[in-house]
This record gives sequence, structure tokens and C-alpha cells, in this order.
Amino acid sequence: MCKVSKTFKGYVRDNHSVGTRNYIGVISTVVCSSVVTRDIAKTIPEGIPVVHANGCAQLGDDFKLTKNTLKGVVANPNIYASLLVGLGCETNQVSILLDETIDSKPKAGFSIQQMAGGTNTLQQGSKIVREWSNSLKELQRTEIPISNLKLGILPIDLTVEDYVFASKTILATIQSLVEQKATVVLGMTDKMERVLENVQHQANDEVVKQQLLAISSSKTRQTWDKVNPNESNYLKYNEADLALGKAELEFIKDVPIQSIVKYAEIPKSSGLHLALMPNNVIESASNLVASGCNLIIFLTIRPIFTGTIAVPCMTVGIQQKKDVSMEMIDYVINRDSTPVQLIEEMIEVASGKLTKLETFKLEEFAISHIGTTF
Amino acid sequence: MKVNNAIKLHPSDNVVVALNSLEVGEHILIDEIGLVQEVKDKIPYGHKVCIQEIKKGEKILKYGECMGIATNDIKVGHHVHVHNVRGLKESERLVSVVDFA
Amino acid sequence: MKTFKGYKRPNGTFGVRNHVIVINTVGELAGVANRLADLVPGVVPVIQQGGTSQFPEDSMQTIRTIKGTVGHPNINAALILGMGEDDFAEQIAAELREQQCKVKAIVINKSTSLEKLLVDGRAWLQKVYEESLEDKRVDVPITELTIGLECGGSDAWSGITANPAIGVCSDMIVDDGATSILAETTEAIGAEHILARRAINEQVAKDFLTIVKNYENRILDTGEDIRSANPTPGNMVGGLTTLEEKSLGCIKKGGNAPLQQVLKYAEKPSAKGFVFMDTPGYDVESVAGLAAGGCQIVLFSTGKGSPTGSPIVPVIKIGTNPKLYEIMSEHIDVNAGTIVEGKKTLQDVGEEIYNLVLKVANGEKTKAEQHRNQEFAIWRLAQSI
Repeated sequence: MCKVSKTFKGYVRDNHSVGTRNYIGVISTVVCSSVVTRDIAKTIPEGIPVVHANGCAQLGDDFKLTKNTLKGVVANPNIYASLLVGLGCETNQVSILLDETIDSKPKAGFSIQQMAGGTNTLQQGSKIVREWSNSLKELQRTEIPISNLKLGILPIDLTVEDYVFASKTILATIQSLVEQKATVVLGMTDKMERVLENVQHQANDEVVKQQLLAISSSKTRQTWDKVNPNESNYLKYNEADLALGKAELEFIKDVPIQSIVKYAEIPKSSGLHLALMPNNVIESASNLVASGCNLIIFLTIRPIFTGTIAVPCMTVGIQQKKDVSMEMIDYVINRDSTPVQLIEEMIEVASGKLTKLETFKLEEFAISHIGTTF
Repeated sequence: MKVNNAIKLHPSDNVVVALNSLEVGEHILIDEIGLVQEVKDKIPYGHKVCIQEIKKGEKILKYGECMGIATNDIKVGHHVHVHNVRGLKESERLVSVVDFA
Repeated sequence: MKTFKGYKRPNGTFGVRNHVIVINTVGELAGVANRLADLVPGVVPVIQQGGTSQFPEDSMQTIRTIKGTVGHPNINAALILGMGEDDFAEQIAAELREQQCKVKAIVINKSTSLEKLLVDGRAWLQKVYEESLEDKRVDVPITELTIGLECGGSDAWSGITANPAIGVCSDMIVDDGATSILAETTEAIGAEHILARRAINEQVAKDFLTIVKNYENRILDTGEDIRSANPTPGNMVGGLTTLEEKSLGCIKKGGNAPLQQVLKYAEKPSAKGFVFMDTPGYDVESVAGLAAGGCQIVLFSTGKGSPTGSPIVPVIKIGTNPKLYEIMSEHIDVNAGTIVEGKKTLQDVGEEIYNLVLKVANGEKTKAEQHRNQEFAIWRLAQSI
């Protein structure tokens, strides 16, 4: 078993969740309020703008996903308080969203139309976030058991060789965290989804087992309750794709699977969860924020040029290669690296050390689509 | 200067739109076309008033286009809304396109 | 011949603005594009979050929109950031350079140094931005103008004041020999037969009916039926009686001119006069499509009030009612509420809009430009892969 420090330094919220960062979220409910949202966020040092292209003219599951994602952001342990800013006439109404978000943290919301224009909205919004900003300054990091770590893992553009090279370290890391009652959410590639039948014996219960089988038997990426059936003929998977999927399964070999996380849901227990997500880096990292992760690692063989708002994204390179620029890579898994080192590095980041992406301030947010706007 | 309290959206229209809520006995005024007409029903603002008799089955013209069919005879000065107008049926819509071809 | 003062581009098109932009082909580079724009004040970031993991119809639409945006007559120069071997940034740049546009592509790969990228990108942007300041406006025939017609946050007055007044302006633009593009397919449902009848020939009528049908089917796939859900109970309280009436209130932004052509989202018209573009009712996505299709100015009616603009084209807001103008004049350019008050006619307000279009074409800033509202989003057709 890995011997690592079993604590990190985090921020304890009133609802007992633990943040690795301390932010105030200013969240636009629709693209139309994104400019004023950014302006409000700029007025305080802890402010982060949660802006995106969605929120109006959406239907059915596509709309549900947008709402789930924003609710997840409000609930994320790295967010101390949230201000929702809308336009007023959008599908995604501020008042409804405000009701549906968790009550255990400070929150407020209004729309530009309600405030009679952008100038008033900015004034009123900055007043509210300034008050939050003052009360937040008293909050200090304290020593927290590692069981409060909620790690998101996102493999990006890996080959079979990369998976094989990294699997021992990643598997041992996941095992160690799960044993210490932490939460791990693995963002699956669409290839891994196709071979989930191979890990059915790891399912924690019958429901999860049936989900694993259902996902892997579907030829399309049918990840939400309904997708556009006209598109299904575009996605085909060949032997090489399936080999990639199988290689990814090595990361979680024999670790019990607690649940399948659909887009933007929050896992209900600790342990390992598998999340369905798009292949678009920024959309999937934003999904992990909504799923409550307080730390995200990108497993990759290239620099990644975007992190996400609210949660530190650590870029973990697999094998140091000559032609890869290292300035954006936080940690490299080499022949002699051990899971202990990787976890220690993660604990440092969780305790406040800035990642490269944080240093470069490359922090964006995007919500995935599962249907058309109208 | 007279101030209009209704608007006619196209010269060929047989309805106009009230700009204020109008009481029975008030007059519609549209200065530029010299229209003055007594109102026979209470008309909420934004709603339509008949300015030219429309028989059952005839077209309601707004914007110079057919926006529906009268389900009753409608007299001048009366309210034109869901109680005396229906939308077009699919077959009627198709006919109007075939007209074009 | 009427003229406006615009910027002449080497490829023979004319802009009403002289923007230098930075745009990203894939969502992963949104942050880098924003950083680069911050480094050179005056440079406009045009940021989008798709570009990868999309089904073919979405990818094609994204590429068409980005190409239309970069090659737009309001753009003096553009930097496109792309990523990876099969990225389309270089291809778009090469095609547009052939059309004499000032475009540079930087394609990022695994050995790219971010520091160097920022230094190189900044240097190029700084150089072209300084060059752009040398450009002078020249007299341009009004026939070179293309305007887009849009609404967002409609109310019971939209179809009575602002939209038909925009229609008056649109007819004047068409009479001048210029081009006017009506958008928002969803708004035409219920009155498509009326617009189809205005088509110049059977093919154009068929094209139009087809995009409406496809649109309805796409929505039906999600389990919703727009036709039977409209007019809504709220619409009826406001005085709308039938679906035809509601849709007519929207499409009357297009006035009464004959329909010359039906365009895909972000496609450029080949005809002058009144044309239609297949866009969603989601206004920011629709405006992005109109702009990418070559509109230099967009007219936007609003009843509830909306601050949104575009990074590349001026958006003129026309408020539908007097109260809106009273409380939100910071976002409204033209008050069509004067029609409700009985003070002005549709013709008066139509002419007022037309005159403002010419002033804005000459350089006058719209409210959205004054507030730096530069929202941008590309219409998404399907799920992310």
C-alpha cells in the first residue's frame, strides 16, 4: 500500500463539503447575460465568471443537461457562494434555477430585465459579491482527511501504448484513493464505453451491472435518455477503437464501480464512478466540475491549453518525450515514478499549489449539447 | 395634434389593432387614413377590432395577409379573437401554396 | 446613387467596421484566444467552444461560420488559432488569402510553447492592428450593403410596432438595390406558406418549405411540437388569435418584397434583394449566422430588452414599447414604442431605422457596441460526441 500523507489542506464549507480553492461563482444562466456576468466577477479577487453559450431556445434533455451542469457548479465544493445572472426572457429562468440549487451555501440571483438594464445589474451584482468576498476572507485552510478529495480523471488523446505505460501508476493511485474513502470520477472516452461489458463483474450492484451492459451494447453514443436518432449512423467503432477502450479499462482493473455518472450528475457515494462525457476537453472538464470534483487530472501526452473554472486542472504527462513541450505539464509519469509521488503532487495542488493552467490563467467553461437549439 | 389609438398594419386589412384598451362607445382614431369608428365591444390593448364587415368563412386580413377564417359573421366595431376566428387547416395552407405554383 | 462611408477590401467587398480579430477553431483554445486579445487592446476576441467532437453536419456548419466570420467585410485582419494535424485553420486561411484577406493561422501541436505562441501571436496582431488604423473610409454604393433581421425577447407589441417598422426599412433597403436577410426559421412556422408564395420561383418556394419542414422534424425528434404549442395562452391574452398571426408578426420584419433566395446557416447570398437564412430562434446563434453570411449590420427587435451584440457586426436594437425605452434606453437604439403612443406611424419609424442604418454604416456606434457586447455562438444541430 502507498504510504502518503493522508490529509490535505482545504476549505470546509458550512455544508461540510471541502474545497481545494475558494471562489465566488458569478454564473450566467444564458449567453445573453455573459458580458455583465464577466464584469461582475471582475469586481472581486475571488470572482470567477461561469459563462457559456447555452440557456435559451433549448428543449428536453438538452435543456436538462444545461440546468444540471449549472446546478452542479453551484454545489461544487470549491465555490463559496453563487450569484446567478440572467437576461429575463430565456428558457433557463433564474428564479427556477435558484430554487433548484442547493440551499446550504450563500446564493442569489436576478435578471437584467428585472434590474432594468446592464448598468443596474452590474451595480447590484457587485454589491452582493463584495459582501460575500468580505466574509470569505476569514476562511482559512485546515488539515482535512484525504477522504474529502473528489478527483476527476480525464484521459486525453492517449494511444494503447500510453495506457499500458501509465496503467500501473494510475491503477495504484485509484486503488489507494478508493481505499482511503476518497471519490474518483473517471471520464470515459467513447471507446471505453463500448467495452464496459468486460468490467461487469466490478459492478457494485445489479443496477450498475445492467447500465454497464446497456452502454456497451449500444452502437451509438446513447448517453442521455434521448438523442437524435438521425445521427446514429455516423459513429462506427473498429477493432483498433475497441483495443483503446480495453486499454483504458486497465486503469480501473478490479476496482468496484459504484455508479455510472450521466452528464453532470453528482456521485452519491465515495469510491470509483465512471462518467459519460463528450470528447471535447473543455466540455468534459466542465462536466467534472458539475459532478462535484475538487481536483481534476488530465492524463495526456501533449500540453493541454485549457483548464476549467473553479477546479484546479493538473496536467499529467505520460512518459517524457523529446518532442513534447513541457512548460504546461505539471507531473510526468516515467519508468521510475510511483503512485506515492503522484498522490503527493495531487495533495500539494489540492492544498493550494497552482497548476500550470492556473498560472497561465487558462480557465474556461462550456456546456455540452445533446440536441439542437430552436 | 390628434393621437392615434389604433393601428392598421396594411391598407387592405379588415381589422386594426387597438393601441389602448377601448371601452364600448369609444371611437377608433387613425389620423393618417382618416379612420374614425365606434367600438361595440370592450377591446383590450393589442387586440383586434373589425373595421369592415366580415362574413362567416371569409378571411381575416392583417399585415395584408390571411391570418385566419371567421367562424361567425363579424360586424364593424366588434372584437376579433379566438371566439370568432380559427386558424387555417393544413389543406387550406397547402392550397394557398399551390396557388403560387 | 445613395452611398455610405465604408472600408474597401482588396477582394472588392465593403465593410462598415475595420476589426482585427482573433478566433479559435477548437474550444480548447478559447482561453488562449482570449489571452492574445487581451495583449493587444483594440483586438476583438471571437470565441467559440465547439469545433471538436461534433457530428459531420455540425463540423461543416462550424467551419462555414468561422470562414464567413474571418472573411467578413467588416474584418481588416484575422488570426485563427487551430490545433492538431487535421485542423481546418490553415486551410481556411489559405483559401481566404487567395481572396486577398489578411489572415494568419497558427496551428498548435504538442511541441508548441505557449510563451512563444503568445509572443508571436501578439507581434502579428500588434502589427496588423497598427496597419488597420491607417485605413480610411471611402464612398460606397448602398447596393453593397447587406442587413440582417432578427428578434429576441419578443412581447405582444413586437408584431405590431418594431417588426413591421423593420419591414418598412427592409423594403427601402431592397428598393435601393441592397440586400436584406430575414432569419429565424422557427419564427416562420405557421406562416411558411405565406412567405413561400412570395418566392420568385417554384424552386425558391420549395427550398423555403423544406427548411421549415426539416426544422420542425428536428424539434419533433426531441419530443416537442412547436405548431400545436402556439400561440401560447400568454400570446392569446396579449391579443394573438392564430399561429399564422403570431408568425406573421415575426416574418413581417422582412417587409413585402419578393423572396429571392434561401440560404443555409452562415451561407452568403448570391442574389440581391430580400432573402431568407435558415437559423434558430436563439438570437445569439442566429446573429452569428447572419454575420458569417455577410450581413454588415443586424436589426434586432426586442420587447423585453436585451443587451446582446456581435463581435463583428453592429447590432441595432429596436424597442417595441414605450416602457422598455423608458427603463432600458442604455440598450435600445430606436424606440418603436412611439407607435403605441400614437405619436408616430410605422412609416415614420421605418424611415428612422433606415436613417440610423446609414449612420451606423458610416461609423456611428450602436448601444451594443458602446457597451462592448460581443456575444458569439455557433448554432448546434446535434449532440457533442
